[in-house]
Amino acid sequence: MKKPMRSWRGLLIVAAVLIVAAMLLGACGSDDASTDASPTAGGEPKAGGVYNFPLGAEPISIEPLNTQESEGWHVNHQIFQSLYCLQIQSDGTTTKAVPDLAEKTEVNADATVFTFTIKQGVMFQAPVSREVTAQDFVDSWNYNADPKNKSATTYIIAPIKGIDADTGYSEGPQLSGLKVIDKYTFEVTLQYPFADFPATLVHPITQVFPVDYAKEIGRKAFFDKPVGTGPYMVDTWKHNQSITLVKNPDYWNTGDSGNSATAGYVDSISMPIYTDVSTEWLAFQKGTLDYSSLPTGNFKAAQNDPKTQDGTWTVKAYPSTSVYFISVAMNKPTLGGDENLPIRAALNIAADREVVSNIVNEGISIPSDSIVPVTIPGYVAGTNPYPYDPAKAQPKLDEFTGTLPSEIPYWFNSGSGHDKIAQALVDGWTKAMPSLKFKLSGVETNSYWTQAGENKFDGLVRMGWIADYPSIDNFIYLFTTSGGKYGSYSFYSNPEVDKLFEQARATVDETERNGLYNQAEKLILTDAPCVPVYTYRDARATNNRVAGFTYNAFGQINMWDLWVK
Amino acid sequence: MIAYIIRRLLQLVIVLFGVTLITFGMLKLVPGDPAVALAGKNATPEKIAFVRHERGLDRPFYVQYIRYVERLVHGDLGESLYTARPVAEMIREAAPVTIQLAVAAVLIELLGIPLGVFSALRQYSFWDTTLTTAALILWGIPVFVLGYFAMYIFGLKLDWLPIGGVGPTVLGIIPSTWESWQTLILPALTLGVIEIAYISYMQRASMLEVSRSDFIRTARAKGLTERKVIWGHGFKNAVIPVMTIAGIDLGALIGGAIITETVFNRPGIGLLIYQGINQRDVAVIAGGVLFATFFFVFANLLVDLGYAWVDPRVRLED
Repeated sequence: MKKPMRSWRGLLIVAAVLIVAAMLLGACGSDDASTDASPTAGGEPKAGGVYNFPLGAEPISIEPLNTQESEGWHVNHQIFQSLYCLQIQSDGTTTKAVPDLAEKTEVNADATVFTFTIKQGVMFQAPVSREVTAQDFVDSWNYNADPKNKSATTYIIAPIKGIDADTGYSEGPQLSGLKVIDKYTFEVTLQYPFADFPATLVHPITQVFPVDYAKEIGRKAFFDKPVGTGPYMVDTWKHNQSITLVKNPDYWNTGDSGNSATAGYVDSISMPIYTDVSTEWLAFQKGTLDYSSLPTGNFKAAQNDPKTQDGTWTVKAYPSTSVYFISVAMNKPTLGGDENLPIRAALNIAADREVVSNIVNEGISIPSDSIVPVTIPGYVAGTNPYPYDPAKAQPKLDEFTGTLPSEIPYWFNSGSGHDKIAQALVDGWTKAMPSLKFKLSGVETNSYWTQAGENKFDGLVRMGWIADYPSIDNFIYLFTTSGGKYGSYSFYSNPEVDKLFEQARATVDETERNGLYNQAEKLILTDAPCVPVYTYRDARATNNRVAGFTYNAFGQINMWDLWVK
Repeated sequence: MIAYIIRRLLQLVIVLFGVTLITFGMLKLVPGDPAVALAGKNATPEKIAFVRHERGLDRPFYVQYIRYVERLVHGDLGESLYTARPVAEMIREAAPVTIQLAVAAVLIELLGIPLGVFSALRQYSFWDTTLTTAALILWGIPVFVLGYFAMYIFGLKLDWLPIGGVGPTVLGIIPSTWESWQTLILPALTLGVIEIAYISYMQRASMLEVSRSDFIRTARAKGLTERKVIWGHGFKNAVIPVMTIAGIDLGALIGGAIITETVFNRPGIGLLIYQGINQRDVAVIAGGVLFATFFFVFANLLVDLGYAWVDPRVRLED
């Protein structure tokens, strides 16, 4: 009796495994997706084909309501449009806001009331397929500002009258600052002067979408398959696997309507999700992808790869609108206050940005002693009164009359190589000023930002800032009294800076306005509440089977301009 | 038997609640506030407080936990803090991908059984030493290193297999096309090969132990052929503990899938948990861990039930 029973044991265990799998799968449904897309064969320039573009993670959202991180932006950018869009300027570096769906923009004398006239004939994608009106813009903005809809990006539209300063959401059912004038015109009243307000209108939260349709099909359905006005529309979104966009067959801009996107060339855009950048890079090398980010440490090797040398690939670092700097905790004893200015100035003078950029960052970043990225309109080089000159660091430090701190705390979020950057800076500082001692402390990222916001750190605090819109305002704000608390975490405050900042915001003339921002920047840098280090560049590889590739400072790729050779 | 099943199912329920409690507790103890990220850039303390309140993150730990359990009892796993997508739906999408990988890896690791027997039968021979050393080396290689290496060699250099991704299936887990099988080969081998090393090592030890038992000596004394002694008596007894390990491994592989799925770009439970941890998305982490636990415990329950059915001693002991 025992023998046959024993022979069943192995089978039973295997069967158990399969039964568990089968039971669970009964509720799980089937999976019929593939994230691998083969490259289309080359040929003469023509419409058609597939562009294979990887996303580095599942987007949080691709609809205007909540698009926030780069993955969401990449998708959203092909589907939606706003009053303004981003355009690379003739210098090849600066990225500026230019009118997109806005036909005309008028502003009052103190930059508190803007009147926008939108283009006629702009159409929503199918199945909505109707003309966009001024009311659609007002509805879209009201919807996004509604606290019920929980957008994480309403800080962009915070200047509009009717946004609650405390919650960041609409005070009532409608934003009081929005008024429809006629079918194609609407007026926006701000809570405070803000001449660069049109620059904020490149952000997804200001894009137009059919609110009536979104409400009709429901939040979940619109989240998965939102409808915009752009040249590409969502075909499928297989969560955590891929997003596929297809050409909008009824795209409204059949001619050349100003700066607006033209109809796309490629039939579809395949966006598989690669959460690991090393895997993405391998898939690119294999030819599965037409674009890839580069894993840390691979930039120079990729540039020297035979395929780059023979023109199969292009490997390039594109300047971004992000800056890397070290904030100084200005309300703390170690380095804060006027008495510690010589130490802060000396740290700026001896900050070896070249070593950080060229050695630690493989030459990808651009060394910069400005708090404004080189890509932002209004950027002026040479504003920092403490330029790099290690020989002058010790004499500057000698101006300090107090007792030097026994050690200067240097905080950074662990991972992402910040420890190496910290070490390179500290090496430069201690070489130029041997009497200074530093204590490096890495903190887990989530915890780091929470603690930084709660002003828990003394000494030096690693910071980075990505522009949300192409205006120098983004960066000067960081060192206003408000921005010191909620942006740079330097807790720096200078009434003169605040005054110049407010004056600039109320100045309609762009040249005059940027001049005021530059004055404020000079004051900030003179007080040295930070040590600017570099402007980021994004290292990317592209397959040259696809032509028409551009990459602006916000990392946007106009995929409608691409064609398969 | 029925009493045994009921007892084990009750244990399963307790384990699942214990797991949710520990997961919640750990996430609460770790510093960092998801409300800061949810509130967006430039957020004032007032806005962060508003968001914290809106999402219920300002409520005491026990209130949050009780609310979670209440919803769990009704089959609601909550929704992602960031995307507002139902966690149950996210699990439903991710589970087949992980189960496919785990089952494939377990089937591969069973190859360790014949290798272990082969090794035991030639104890201290060249082949035994070679296989044992190879097993130890494989066992020591981190799964992500092996994964990248495999993709580099077989995906990129030899161009035999795709790099990452998943393919179409039937019944959720069985690849339905050659391309789909191809996407499974490298991750399953990566996860399974390391386990082959482990299983063969265990099988070798078990086989050697059994071969020194009295009943084997008796079998030989009775004049049975060596083939019958080894396969009829020795192997059948030696394989049982190893199969138990393989059963437990199925659950453990769900955990191991976190790294494998990230490296091979497979959108399964492991990747879901990994992303949840990065974002402090409590509901997603708890949902993923709950699934992994359920899978682990239930698979082992079925293995135990199988034993109880074929071996009365197990029933008596329990």
